[in-house]
Amino acid sequence: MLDSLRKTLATALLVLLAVTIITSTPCSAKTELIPHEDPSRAKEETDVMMLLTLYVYTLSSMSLEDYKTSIETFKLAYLLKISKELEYVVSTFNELLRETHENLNDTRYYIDLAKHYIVLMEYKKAFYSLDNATFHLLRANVTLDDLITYKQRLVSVISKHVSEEYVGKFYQLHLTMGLYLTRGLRRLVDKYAEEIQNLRANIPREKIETKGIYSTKILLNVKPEKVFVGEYISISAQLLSENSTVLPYRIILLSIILRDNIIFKKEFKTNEEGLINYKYKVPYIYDEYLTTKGLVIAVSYTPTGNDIGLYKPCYNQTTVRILYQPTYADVKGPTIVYPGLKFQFTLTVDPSPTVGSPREVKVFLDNALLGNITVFSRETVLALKIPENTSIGTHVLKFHVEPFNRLAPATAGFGILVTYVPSKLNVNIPAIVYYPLSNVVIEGKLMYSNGTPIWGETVVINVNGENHTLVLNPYGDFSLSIKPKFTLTFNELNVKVIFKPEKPWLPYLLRKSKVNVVSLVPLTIALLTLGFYMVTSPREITFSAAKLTALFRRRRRIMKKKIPEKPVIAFYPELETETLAKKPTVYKFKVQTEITKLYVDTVKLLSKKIHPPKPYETMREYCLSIKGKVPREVFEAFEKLTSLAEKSLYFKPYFSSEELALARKCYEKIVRW
Amino acid sequence: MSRKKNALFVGILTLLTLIVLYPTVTDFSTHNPGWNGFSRLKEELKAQVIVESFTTTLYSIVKPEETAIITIAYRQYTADELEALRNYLLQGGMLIIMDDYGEGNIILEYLKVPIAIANNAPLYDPFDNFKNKRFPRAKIVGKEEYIVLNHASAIMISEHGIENVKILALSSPFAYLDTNNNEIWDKGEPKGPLPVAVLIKYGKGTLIVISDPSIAINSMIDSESNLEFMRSIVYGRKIFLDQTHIPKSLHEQIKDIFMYITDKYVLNPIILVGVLLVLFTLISRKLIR
Repeated sequence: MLDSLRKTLATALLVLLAVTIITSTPCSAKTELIPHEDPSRAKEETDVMMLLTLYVYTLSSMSLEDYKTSIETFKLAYLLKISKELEYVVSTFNELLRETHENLNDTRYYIDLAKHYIVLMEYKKAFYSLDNATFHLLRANVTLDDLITYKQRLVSVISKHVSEEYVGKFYQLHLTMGLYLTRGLRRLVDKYAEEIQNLRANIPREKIETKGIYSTKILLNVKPEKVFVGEYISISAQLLSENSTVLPYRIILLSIILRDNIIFKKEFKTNEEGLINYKYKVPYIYDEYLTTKGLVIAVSYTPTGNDIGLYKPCYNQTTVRILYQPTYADVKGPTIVYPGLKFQFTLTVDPSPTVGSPREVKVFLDNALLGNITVFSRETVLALKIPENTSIGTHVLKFHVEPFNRLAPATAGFGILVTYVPSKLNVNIPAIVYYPLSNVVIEGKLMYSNGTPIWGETVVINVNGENHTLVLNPYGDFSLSIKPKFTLTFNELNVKVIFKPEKPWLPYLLRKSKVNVVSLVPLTIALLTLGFYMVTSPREITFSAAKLTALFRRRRRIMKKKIPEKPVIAFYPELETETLAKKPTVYKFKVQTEITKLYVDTVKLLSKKIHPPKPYETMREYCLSIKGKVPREVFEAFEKLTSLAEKSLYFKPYFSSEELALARKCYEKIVRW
Repeated sequence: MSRKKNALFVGILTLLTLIVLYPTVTDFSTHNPGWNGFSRLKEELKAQVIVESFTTTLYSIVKPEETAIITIAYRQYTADELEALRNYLLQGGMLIIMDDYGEGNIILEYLKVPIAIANNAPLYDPFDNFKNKRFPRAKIVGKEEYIVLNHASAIMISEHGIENVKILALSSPFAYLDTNNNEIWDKGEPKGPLPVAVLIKYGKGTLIVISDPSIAINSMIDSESNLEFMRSIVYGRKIFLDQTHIPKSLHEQIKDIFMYITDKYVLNPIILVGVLLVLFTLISRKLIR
């Protein structure tokens, strides 16, 4: 019965071992990325780094007065998913930032409006605009102060949500934000204040209210109404009083305005017919605004000298449409390119350039100049090398055709995806290795996706932190065999196969895997034991449950009193032969000997004079308890007496006459005291 | 001797029972009822699972136009398998490639289609997501419905082939591909909206590429419209679920072999009748004695 039980047990153990090995063997992951995570365990997170980055971008655009970009960036901060615990702080900060942004933007708007009115010599409106600008600037100043204070709170709250990995970046962003707020925006406020002050100073007070008896007018005649760039416009203007009499030898100011900017300004003196004539050459500006809205030609008269108070100032303006010939450019080529390699792109320019009138083309990759070329025909094939340091991702190739006389510039953009040459790293790493029978053999092959082997490159195999560098053979193969270290049970080896290419067009590849080293030592021992039990007859080994349980039985520590060889004397203290070791207290012995008698008498005496021994106190404890309460010589005498009494109790029922004399001496000393 | 035999038989039987009954934890496995398994997908789509002989199974499909194959491209495909997939598509079958590591690109390159799965670049969306940026939401094109992704990637469409590709689901404009794996958007990294599921006609068949197989794992299938999305793309077809291209544990492999043998041999009517006859003969002999 017992034999079959043992065999069943052994079989069950083997089955369990096999199941454990099978179920615990992991499947190898191909890359370092994880395929998914359990959504029920995932935490709600705010992308704090993204939030701070958006703030930095917003503040950066604001300090550069690019309010359009800043509001677009800032809108993203509103859309960012914020967890409930951060909601209040972030929304308050957002609100303050929005208010500051609005007020600064309004200040800029009113300052520009004031400038526009000043250009048009509408000083009254300019004055009102400056008032509005001042109001918004004051509000911006207040909200900026609040924003700077609140930023500290924001940072202290969200810093708890930053993982250790990004702490450095977090503080970098936080400091940048601080700099933009305290320096960038503060300077902007100061700049606006100065600008408002200067503009106010530039507005002539006397011109805000027009005084004069007679009104005046300027007849303005501009020819032609539409003109190509580089051609001339003839401008003539006549100054007349309200009854159409000419006003000769008066100063007229001619201004040519493009998008609120005065590109030409000159004063002319009217002739005897009150006329001025001027020929203006249109600059080579290829702006669509000039075609649709036109160039503003403005003339104004401001009374001076004796005319002040007599004539009122006057103003007239007209527009001239500026034309130019557009250029069309198109580019075709491969959309997927590899860094460090050359690719051909076909550039088409229309109207077609000729040898006599070539066109200059600048090539940019994401605004970085790649080179200049001259194009002589409609279609040109260009071989461009993609820079080796170009980052992987989408980029824009820009072909900028420079203007040529009436021909406007043109830009052809071409989106390219810079990527690595598709390559494969096939690795064969064993999932299980049995120690000490087999080695860890790591084999692999590196090739382009079409199967062409990559050779001459190196592959690093990292096994539990130990690096092995291998050079690929002409077939792109590599192999490494490692003997596993001594393993008693199980061991796990982390194997990383890393390919760091020297050529820029090859990708960085990484394969990770775990090798389980299963030791056959325990199995061998188990099998040997099992074999032994199976071979040997069950009768030869007696099986006793009592023996087994005896191994685990708890043993009590027992102190046995050694019985002396000499016969027990009647007055020897009655101690149990089998008891736990515990010294008797003062009251626990019967007085039988001469010394113990003396000791008991002394204790009685001391009990009366000082205090009696406590029931749990031993002889020595009682002796120590009276130490500070009696003179030194008395204590020493009692100590000796106690020691002699102990001796007589435990070791020496018989004592010498000297010891007895000493005991008496001690007793007498105590009695005398 | 007979006792020893009995013990061995009981041991093997116990081992097999434990292996069969013990659920696996392998990602995307139909035997895995845990959060990362495909057991729900198999049930919901009433899919037939391919565990062995992928090429043979593909060639044995009689009416490819009435079927769809879902494959999770986490392991290499052999040349025979790629050719079998191409033939299957040319004959009108629907192939659904689900992959977020870029291993499926080998099929796309072989088929010479103008699309590729972004290689080892996770798709993050800090704005439109479920819980955190690693679970971006993608809008199903033409519907006001969303799918939730889990550590996904995106599909890159070559400019010259854009007119042949139909986008089925798009990430939000705020999503980005983290090509350098630093979890922050850097200049030059592709920004959304990025396609996460696309359809392309190939011969008589249809090729669908989904840049995240995790949308159909047990814990994700009920998120938003994930299940409806999977149902809508395979609607009316018989589904085959390829399990031969996912990395498997030893347990999973033994389980697959056991299931394969059970399906092919043990449940074979002829073998079953033969076994019953042998048993009947043995029992009747004993009774006669």
